[in-house]
Order: sequence, then structure tokens, then C-alpha cells
Amino acid sequence: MELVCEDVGKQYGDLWALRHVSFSSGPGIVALVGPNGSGKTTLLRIIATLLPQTEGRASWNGMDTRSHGEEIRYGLGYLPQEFGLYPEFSARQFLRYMAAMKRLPKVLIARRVEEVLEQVNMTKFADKRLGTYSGGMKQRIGIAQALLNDPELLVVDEPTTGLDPEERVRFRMLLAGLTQSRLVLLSTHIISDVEAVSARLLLIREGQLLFDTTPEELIAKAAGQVWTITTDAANAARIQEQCKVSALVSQQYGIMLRILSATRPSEEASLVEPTLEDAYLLFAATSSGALTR
Amino acid sequence: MATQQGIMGESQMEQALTSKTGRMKARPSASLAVFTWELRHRLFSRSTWIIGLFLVICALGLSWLGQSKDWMDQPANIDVAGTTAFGLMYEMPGVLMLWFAILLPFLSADAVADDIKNRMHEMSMVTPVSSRAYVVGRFLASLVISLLMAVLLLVSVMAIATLLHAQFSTYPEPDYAVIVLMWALVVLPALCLLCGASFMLGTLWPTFTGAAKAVVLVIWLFIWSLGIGLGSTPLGPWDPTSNALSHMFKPYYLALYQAGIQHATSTAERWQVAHSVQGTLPDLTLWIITHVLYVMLGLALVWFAVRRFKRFSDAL
Repeated sequence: MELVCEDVGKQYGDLWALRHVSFSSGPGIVALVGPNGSGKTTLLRIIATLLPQTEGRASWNGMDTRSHGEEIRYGLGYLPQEFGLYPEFSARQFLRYMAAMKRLPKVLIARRVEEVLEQVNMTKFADKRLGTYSGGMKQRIGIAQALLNDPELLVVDEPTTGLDPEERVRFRMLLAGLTQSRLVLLSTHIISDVEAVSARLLLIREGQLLFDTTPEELIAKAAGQVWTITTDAANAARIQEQCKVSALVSQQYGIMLRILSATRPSEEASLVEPTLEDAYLLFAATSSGALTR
Repeated sequence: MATQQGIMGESQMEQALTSKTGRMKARPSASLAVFTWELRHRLFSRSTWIIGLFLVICALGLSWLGQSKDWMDQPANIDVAGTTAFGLMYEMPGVLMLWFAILLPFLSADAVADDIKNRMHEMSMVTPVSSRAYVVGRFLASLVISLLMAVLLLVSVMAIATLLHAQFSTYPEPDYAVIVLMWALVVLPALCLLCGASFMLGTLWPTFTGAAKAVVLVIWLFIWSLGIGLGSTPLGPWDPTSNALSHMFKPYYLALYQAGIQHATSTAERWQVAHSVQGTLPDLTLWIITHVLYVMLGLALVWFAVRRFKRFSDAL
């Protein structure tokens, strides 16, 4: 079981949304992180056989995503970043429809639908029309449909968007339980999700794969570059103009700043241990301005 | 919470979920699966029922209003009944089908494009259903919905014919076989052509279905407006809207009527002749041949869409 991307690129008109992306992966959870517009969704769509790449090769178990789409899709689960559902259907009807589209045998459909409903904690709402669902409930049904065919390759794009904290934790647990003999590609902005479930991280920026690493290694790369300081409002404003700031908390005796900088930003600043979020912001942000505002 | 390990432990499930051949054996036709679920989806949709209700009300109202045409014998004031063979040559393409034609693009242009409107296209396109099965299944569902609407139209005409005969003693007894034949002749080929053209445009340009419907309707109405002129030319049988039908066969009916009333001595006898003539069917072989070709053209347009459909890759 192996996903291989070799020098994958995707061009829209004159713009390269993705360029020279190469990596391979066996079973496990691989997190794909990067700022908006960095090319994460494009890469996931190429892997999910939705988009043909302009250059390079993407394959799953040796099957090219361009020429073996149908075979790959038998073992693929995919949750798009943005999706709608048929509002006329209930969740149960919708999942049965998706199960039929995924070519599940008729005898298994009803049972499998009940199992995924249970997995996303939606059994008691399963007969309500999807048109009446909240955003979080729709997201859970989206996750459920991706799991219907017990996929070997699960591609999820921003899956926890719209979920409340409790449901997010439940989803992480669900993902963690799925990793045996399957590959989960998880694209997310929520760094705590990555920390919780993923042992490998791909950081994409401006269509390029910047890092193929582990969360621990990325944190280690940020060591010595994260500072904290408590100062007055005027000084805090000056620091924000000069440095990347990952956190700003108003306290009783001033403003506490968490600063990302290769050099000591101020005499009073003290070095602290970086978090994964610090590391992500340090490497993923395209400019200091993106962080200070 | 059910666990994946529990599922994978069962060999039947494991084989069925991971093996393509296992699934193919259990569910041989993807088109059928797409068709049945899309049909269910459309039947659950409130808009389908609203269109159906609108159609029935219009068909009943228009059939009632079009119960007679006063042209056959002006001095004797003998009318053509709207639900006789000759009356239907006017009423069906000139009034009923004109309304129905306006609805048809709305029933078929969105059959595939609805997945984009519902933002379901990405989830649909990562299923192992082939493009061919997906498009064919969607078309068949929209065709069946359109046919159901056409049947509502037929039933409405039959109901009005029965009601008019019951209400007015001078109104001819309905010949249901003739009504069905005229319906099949006028409505079904036009339905196939309009559905096929709208579906093809909506499928190949799913983000421009509004324009697709407008194009189909404008062309249709233009051809319909030519129908009266076409009826007196050799091109008459080629009119897909069938608006040329009444004009083509008007001389035939007039000749029959004139021949029939030569020995009629009273108005009642003239009425009897008129009723008998109106219910007569002329030789429609040429008309049937050309309209079968239109049915095939409609299906050919669908086939073209099947071949050219790119799984929404342009819309991503």
C-alpha cells in the first residue's frame, strides 16, 4: 500500500498552483498543512482522481491516478473542503445513496450505513431531512460518507471545520482508530488536530512542498526562535510591526507577546519552547504582516 | 461506537468492500443504481411536484378553453372539438405542447448540473461509478420524470374530453385511442428532442444551465413559429414542434367534410358528418418516420454528452 507523488505540478492558465511536489507514503496519517491558497486542495484533488495534474505522476498502489481512476476510487474515501448534501434526503437515505454510488453490495448497504452513522454519532438524527441540519451535523455526514466503503486511502480536506470541540476530539479518535492498513491524508488549518493524530507532516507554501517532516522535527527546527515578553501597549505595537507575533494576551500588568524571531527581539524577551503552532506560523506564513494583523 | 477492526474481521464484508469484482457481482449495473437513486431524489424534490401540479392545472384549463375551434363550416357554425383527432392536431402542438415545451428544459438541463448546484459534484466524482453510467443514469431519471409529466398531460386531456362529452350532448364522445396516438405522435418525439438537447447542453456546460435552457427554448419557439408556414410545404413533416400538423392536414379534413355533407340535408346531419370527419386519422406514416428520427436525434445528443462529459474537471 503506497501513495507516490513524483514531481507533481498543476497549472491553471499561467499560474502554477502546485509545482515539483514529491513524496511517498505507506499506511498512517499524513497531515497536509499550509496557508490558504498554498495548493493543498489541488494536491488532494489530484490524489483523489478529481483533477489531472499538468506534470509529474501520482499513483496509488502503482496505479496512475490519471489512467486508473475507476480502480482507485473503489478503495478511496474523500471528504471535500466544501460540499453540500441533497436537502430532500434524510441522512440515512443520503448515505444509502452514496453507498450505492460507491458500488457497495446491496446486502451490506443497510448495515454499513448504520455503522458509519454510529461512528459519527448521528444515529438519532438519521431520519431528519438534511436540509434541516446545522453545519456541524452536515460535516459529520460528510465524514460518514467518506468512510462508507471502508477505504484504504482516505483523503479529508479540512474535516473538522464547523465541528464543536467535543466532535473534533471524537473525529480525531475516529481517525486514530482508522490508521491500521490504510493511509489517511488530512489537510487542516487546525494545528492541534495535527498534533493529536499525525506522525508525519507535509508543509506546503505557494505550491511548493517546504517540509516533509514529523511534528517533533518541525518543532525542533523552530527552537531558539520563539520568545515571550510582557510589555506596555506602545512597545507591543512596535514589536508587532517588526516581528512575527503568534500570540498576544492582555494581562493585568501589560501585554504578553509570543514572538517568532531568529534574533532576540528585545532585551527583556526570554526564550521559550516552541509549540507546533509556533513552528507552523514561523515557516508557513508568507510575510510577517500576515501574522501581526 | 462500531470499530473498523470489527468490520474488517468479517470476511464477507472485507471481500465486498475491497474487491472490485466482489462489488460488480453484487451490483451489476451502475447506471441502474444511479437511475433509481436519482429518480428517488427527484421524486422527493418539492419542485418536481410543483411542476407536476402546475402542468395538470394548465393542461386541464387549456384543454377546457380549447374545447372547440370555429373554422370548419362558417355558415353552419360547426366547430372542431379540441379532443378529436383533428382538434388535437391544433390543440396538442399549438397550445398544450407549447406550454409543456417550456417546462421540459427545466426538468432535464439540470439533471447532472444539479450536483454542482448542491456542491455534491466532488463527492459524486470520487465514487467508482463511471462517467458513462453516471450520465446515462441521470438522463434516464430525468427522462422518466419528463415522461411522467407527459402522462399527466395525457390524463388531463382525457379527463377534459370525458367531462366535455358528459357536460355537452353535442360534444363528440372521446376516442381514447386517438388521444393516445396523437399524444404519442406530438408529445413524445418533442419530449425526447427537447430533453436530449437540454440535457446535453446542461451536462457539458454545467455552470451555464440557465443559458442552456434559454437557447433551447428560443430555438424551439422560433421553429414553432415557422410551423404554420411549414404546413403547406414539403418540409411540413419535418417540423419537430408539430405545429405544422394541423395546417398540413386541413385540406384533407375539409375535403372529407365537403364530400360528407353533400347528402346532408339538416344541420344535425352536418354535425354528425363533422364529428365523424374530425375523429378520422389521416395517413401519418411520413410524419411518424420523421419524428422517429427526432427521437433518435435526441438520444444521439445524450450519447454525445456521455462521450464528452469530463467529470466536472472544468468546474473544479
